[in-house]
Amino acid sequence: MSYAITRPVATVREQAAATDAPHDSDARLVQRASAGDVAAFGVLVERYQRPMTALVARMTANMDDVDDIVQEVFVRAWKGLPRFRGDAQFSTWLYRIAVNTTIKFRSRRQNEQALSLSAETLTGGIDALSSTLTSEGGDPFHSAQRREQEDLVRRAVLALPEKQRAVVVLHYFEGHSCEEISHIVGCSVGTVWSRLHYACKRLKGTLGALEGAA
Amino acid sequence: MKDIMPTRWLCKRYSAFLAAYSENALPPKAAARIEAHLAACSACRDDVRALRQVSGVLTARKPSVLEPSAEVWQRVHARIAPDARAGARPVWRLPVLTSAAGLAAAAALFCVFVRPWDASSSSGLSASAAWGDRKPSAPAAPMTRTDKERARADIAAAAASRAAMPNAAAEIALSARPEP
Repeated sequence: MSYAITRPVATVREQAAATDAPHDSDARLVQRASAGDVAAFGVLVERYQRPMTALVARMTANMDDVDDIVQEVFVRAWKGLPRFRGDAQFSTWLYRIAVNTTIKFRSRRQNEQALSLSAETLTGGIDALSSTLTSEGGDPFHSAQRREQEDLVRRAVLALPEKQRAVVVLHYFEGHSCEEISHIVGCSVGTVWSRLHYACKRLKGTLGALEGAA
Repeated sequence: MKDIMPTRWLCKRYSAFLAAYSENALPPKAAARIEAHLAACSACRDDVRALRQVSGVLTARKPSVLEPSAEVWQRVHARIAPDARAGARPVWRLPVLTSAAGLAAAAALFCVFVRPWDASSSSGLSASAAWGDRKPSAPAAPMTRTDKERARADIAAAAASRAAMPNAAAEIALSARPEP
C-alpha cells in the first residue's frame, strides 16, 4: 500500500475549477451532490479524505484495509445522500458512516490475527510512558522511542472493545468534543464520558500489565 | 448539601462523571460535589489520577496520521459513476432512447428470423453481394419446384406486409408468422 504525501486528485480539481466549488460550503456541495452533481461530491471527497483516512487508520489494525474502508465510506455517503436530511452537519454524518463502516469491516475479518501486546515493546508501563513525554529530545534515539510508544498506544487502543475504541479515537486522537461524539455515535454525552472512563481504566490496566511482565 | 450517603454508593454514582471532571468539563456545582467526594475517597482519587495519566499519554502519543491514497477519488468515482449517470439522465431523452432500443431489437429479430439473404438468393440476388462474405453455416438442401414456388409466394406476401406496416414492430409480427 502506498500513501502519497500530496493528494493529486486532478479530476476533482479540474471539474471543480470551472464551478468555484472548492469555496462552497458543505451544505451547498451536499445539495448539489444530492442532485447528482459528481464534481460537487468530488470536492467533498477531497475535503474529507484526509480526516477519514486518519480516523480509519487509527481504528483498524490492518493498514492494508484503510484504502478499501475509506473508499467504502465515500461510496456509502454518495448512496445515502438522498436520505441525508441536513439535521446534523455533513461532517458529523460522514464520521458516523466511517465509524460504522470500520466496525463492520473489522467484524467481517474472521481471520484477523488477535492483537497481542508484547512485554518487549516497552518496559515500565504507563508510568514510564508518561514520564518520557517531558524528557524527550529531537535526536534519533528519542524519535525511535517515540515511534515505538506510538505503536504501543495504537495497539493498546485497538485492543479495546469497539464502542470504547471509537470514542477514544474520536476524542483523544481526532480531538472531537464529547458532545460531537454523542452525535457521531448516536448516544448521550454521559454515555460518551462513561465509555471514556472505562476505556481509560482498561488502558491503564493494559499498559500497566507490561510493567509487571517486564 | 453535605453527602451523608455511604462512600461506595457515591463511588458508583460519581464514576460516570470522573472522566468529565478530569478534563474540567463539569459545571462548577457538579465539580464541587465531585471534589467533596474525592477528598474522602482514595479509590476515586486514584481513578482520576489514572484518567489524567492515560488521557495525557493518548493525547501526546496519538498515532501518526496517514496521508490518503492518491487514488481515493478515482476509485470512488469509478464506483459511483454508473449511479450518477443513471440518476442524471435527462427525462426528454427517455422516449428517444426507448425508440432506438426498440428499433435495434426489431432489426436484430428481423435478421435472425426473416433471413433476407436467403430470400435474396432465391430471387436471383447473390447473398455475398448483399451481406459481404457472410455464408450460411450449413448448405441448404436442394429445393423442389413446389418449395420454390411456395417460397416465392411467402416472399411476395412478406414484402406486401412490410409495405403495409412501415414501422419496426411490423418486422416482429412478420417473424412470428406461423409456418404454412
